[in-house]
Amino acid sequence: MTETLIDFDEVLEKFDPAMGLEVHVELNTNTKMFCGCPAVFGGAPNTNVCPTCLGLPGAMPAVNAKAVESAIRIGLALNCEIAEWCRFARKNYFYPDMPKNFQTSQYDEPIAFEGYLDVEVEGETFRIEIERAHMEEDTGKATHVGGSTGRIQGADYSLIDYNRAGIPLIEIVTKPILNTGAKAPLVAKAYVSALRDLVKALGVSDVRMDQGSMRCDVNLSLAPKGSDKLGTRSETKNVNSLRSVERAVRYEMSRHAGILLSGGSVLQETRHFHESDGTTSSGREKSDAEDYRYFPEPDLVPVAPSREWVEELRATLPEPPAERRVRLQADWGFTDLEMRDAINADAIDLIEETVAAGAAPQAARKWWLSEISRRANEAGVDLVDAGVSPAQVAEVQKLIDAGTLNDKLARQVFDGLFAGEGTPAEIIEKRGLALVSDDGPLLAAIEDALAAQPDIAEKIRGGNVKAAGAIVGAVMKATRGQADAARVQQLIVERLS
Amino acid sequence: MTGGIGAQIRPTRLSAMPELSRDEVRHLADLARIDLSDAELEHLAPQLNVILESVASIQGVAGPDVPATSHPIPMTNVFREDVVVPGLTPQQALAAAPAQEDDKFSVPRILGDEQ
Amino acid sequence: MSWIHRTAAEQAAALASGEVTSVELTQAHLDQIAATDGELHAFLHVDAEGALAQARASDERRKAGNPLHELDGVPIAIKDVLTTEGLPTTAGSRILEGWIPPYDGTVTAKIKAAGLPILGKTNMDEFAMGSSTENSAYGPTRNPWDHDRIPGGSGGGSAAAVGAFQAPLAIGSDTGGSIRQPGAMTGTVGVKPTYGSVSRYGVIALANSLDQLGPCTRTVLDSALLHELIGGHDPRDSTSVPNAVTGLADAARAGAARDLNGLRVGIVKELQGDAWNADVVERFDESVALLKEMGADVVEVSLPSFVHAMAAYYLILPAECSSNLAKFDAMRYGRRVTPEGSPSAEEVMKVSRDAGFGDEVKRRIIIGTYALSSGYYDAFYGQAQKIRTLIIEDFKKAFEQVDVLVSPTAPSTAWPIGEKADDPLAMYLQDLATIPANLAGVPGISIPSGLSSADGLPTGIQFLAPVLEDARLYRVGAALESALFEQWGGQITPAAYAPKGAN
Repeated sequence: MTETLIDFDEVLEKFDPAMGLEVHVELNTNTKMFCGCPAVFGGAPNTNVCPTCLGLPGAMPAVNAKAVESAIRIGLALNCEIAEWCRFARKNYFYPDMPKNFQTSQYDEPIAFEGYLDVEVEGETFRIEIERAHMEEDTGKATHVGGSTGRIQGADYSLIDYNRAGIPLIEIVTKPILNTGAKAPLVAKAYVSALRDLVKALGVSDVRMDQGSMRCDVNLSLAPKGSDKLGTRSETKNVNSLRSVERAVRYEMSRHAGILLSGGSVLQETRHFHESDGTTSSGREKSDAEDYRYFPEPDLVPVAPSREWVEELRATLPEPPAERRVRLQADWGFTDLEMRDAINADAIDLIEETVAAGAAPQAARKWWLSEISRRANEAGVDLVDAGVSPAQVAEVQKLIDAGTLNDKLARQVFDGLFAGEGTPAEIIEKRGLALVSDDGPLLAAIEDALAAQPDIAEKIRGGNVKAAGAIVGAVMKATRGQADAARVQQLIVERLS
Repeated sequence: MTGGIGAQIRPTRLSAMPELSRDEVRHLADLARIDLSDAELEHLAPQLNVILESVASIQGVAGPDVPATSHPIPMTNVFREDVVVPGLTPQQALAAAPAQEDDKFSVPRILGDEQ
Repeated sequence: MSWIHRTAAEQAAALASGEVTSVELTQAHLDQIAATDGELHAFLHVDAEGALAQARASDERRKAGNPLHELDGVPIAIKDVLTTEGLPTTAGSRILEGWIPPYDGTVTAKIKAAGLPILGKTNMDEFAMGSSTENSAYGPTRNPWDHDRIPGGSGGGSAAAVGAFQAPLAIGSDTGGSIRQPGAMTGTVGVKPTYGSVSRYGVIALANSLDQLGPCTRTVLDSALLHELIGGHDPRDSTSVPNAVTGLADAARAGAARDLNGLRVGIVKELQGDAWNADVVERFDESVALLKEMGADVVEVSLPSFVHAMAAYYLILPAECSSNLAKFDAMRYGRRVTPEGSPSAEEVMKVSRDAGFGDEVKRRIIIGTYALSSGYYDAFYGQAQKIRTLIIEDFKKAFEQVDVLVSPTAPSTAWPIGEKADDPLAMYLQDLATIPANLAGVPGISIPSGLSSADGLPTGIQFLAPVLEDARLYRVGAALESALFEQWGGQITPAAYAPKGAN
């Protein structure tokens, strides 16, 4: 189906976007939400299952204390109220990846509610209001066999692995995000990014969007400019990278506008996001009449966190990411631009660890944002997975500071590190990369160069110090770059004065 | 004593009582994933209405001030330590599967999208 | 008297004294099953080989002086609602035909850990929905007193097995009377313990907030012994109460002394009237007179919200079961029915569930689906949960005045098979007296009160006690039982199954 897409600027002339973001975070607990199976997804199929998470007749759930604790900590970090009393509920619907044909979730009594998260986009702060954060369980994983695409449509049958079934999830739901205008796509991205940093700082999840441990659903609707009535929304499911969040919002804004401007009405439905071209396609029609027949889970008793427990958990919260950034920028003496680049490159943690390992902040920033970023981009991996550790970067920098390496040689050390040739010291040894620190060989090379270019030697003697550059170049060439250029310059001047 | 509960349970037509049409019963059966035949609908729908009429007697009995009870013995905060306990082997898990392949449960093609 | 006609306590004593072996006991019961179950159909699955192996192991423990439990070696039957690793578990449903669980329910595990040989799995109404065991997908169980009549339900299999001396002990499950009412219909004892005092882990749930496992036996003391064995906290059942209910067998033994001085007994005003057959009431009144003779202080108490109990029950139960039974979709286990062509998973689920569930299951699933729908939740399910609160409050107030409550267990004696099969409401009325206990979580016991003067079939009397006060039931139950046994010259026994030489 071809969509009529409206140019983004035109959308903004005529409509106000409203967004709602639902983020699922998979907790990194040892065990699943309601049983003692390892909360590990991706092993051999159906190895981490038991009667409870397989939904066998007679099996019963038992709540993982650690998951409740993590949910409360996430709620507190999002400035939420923590429920004094809340229950699990059954969300009833049939689907083969769900062993019981109901999901044990929370309905009108979430563990955390009424919070907010501030995010900054191009110097402007947006307060994203959090409606709720609640606990639930993940589903199994279906793979579709047959058909041309390996997708669900057209498949002959499906194979289900229940290892993922029952892994604890926290679903974090925003209130409608209004008044973001042209910045809507960036605000959405910034919110998900900030949420990811926050959850990561809490240490309760890997929050790897690429691996599905953090998943985002984007609700979007348009209202005619100035109207205070929300339009019909679409729900784009499983948008699994920060960039995709931004693109999905942008695409849906253009698509909704296309429908509305041609006199049509937006269908309330779920949409699939396609990474390849940034488009969405129709999924399942979703009506308000959809009836999950929620009711309190009768096999579980209410969760009533004592205020003492909540305060104990509040005391374990790490420094909020936004405050931490202000502190680090001051500590490091970065300009706003330098800090923003570091944030955008997801390099804050890496720089912090590099500095902790002894490198100067500017040096750490330089390596991570230039040499290593370039290589990560080439390899198509995140910076953290580029193949170099903060400790190694600090070690290389230490060798530069000691005069053992220059920047050019250091890049060759990084070559060795990326190639897995060992520690920086081993690479220097193997590749014979250390700077020539003994003046003897340098003086010999200078003699050779002066002899080869007598006219230059004359110019230098005549006071044209700049002319020494040609001799330095020749010496560097003769020593295959392993000379300290400043020292060579100094020796030449001494030799000819 | 005459009357008693037995007498009260027997339906006395309540004006507010919703009567389930056959289409509504079919819709409910669809929601519950039961493929009722026409003959079954014919048979079950009147019985369902008799049952509904009798249970509808409770409407309005308890006011808003009465709290709901979901557990007969009130307890809170029953948790399990986050410690792994052995589960089933894939062979045990799959032993009763109507169909399987590669240690996974094989199910017919799925029409709907996941939720 | 043959071994099978002795009580479980007597069998245990004989094992302890070396008078008999577990193999002999187990074989005697297996023989009785073989001789009678073709007609009675109390069992869905008999595990002769497994039971005898367990019996041999028990005898070896005895010989070595290391019995695991007082009841080690006394055979038992288990209602097919509880999972048993390696033994078929169907809950009386076609949809679970042939399912062999890979795990033991907690009570199964406790029974195995105590060394009781498991004879097999007993018949029941499909998913425990019913009061007659006619809803079993595998055919009805017959009443040992009259093979043309129902044995009660849903646990007709366990009650009939105990009543016909096929087993001295059986496990039942009681959601609205499924242990107590079959007890009344078959002249046996059945106890629904306090909610949460016996683990539900491994019980194929009907209505999670109402279900409770309990003992089915021929005497009050036997129930107490079995109750103590199966009870106790279970971390795998989050609704399990923290402390075990104790002192049950002691209470039963003390009760047998027939001294009820100081015991305050309340006759429930709302459980009287036209709905109760005169022959049942006749026996009930006689039992109440015996209670007074033994010193009990009998008064009438009113629990006005009881009039709404049945309606609340038939909303809460279908709501919970509609969700519980969703898992039976023929995707991971159970009978898959695949229609012609290239059906989708959705179609296979629908066809399998239509073929796999019986009428009563379908009725309750549809009612439950309706009661939970968003437009009706408050009017039905929400309202029913509030009625539950009112009933709990009624019990609290009543137990300020009396120690135990008493009523007939069921309004009538056993009726002919087929009589109410297509009249669900008539069937539901059988549980009038038993349902309130499940809604409030309180314990209840049914013991035989005699034989009807109208049809010669057993009648039952029910006692209810406050939450966790199960011991009171055993005291008063054992007292009345002792007084009645004295009148009758022993247990009442169906003629066809009576010990030879007995009257």
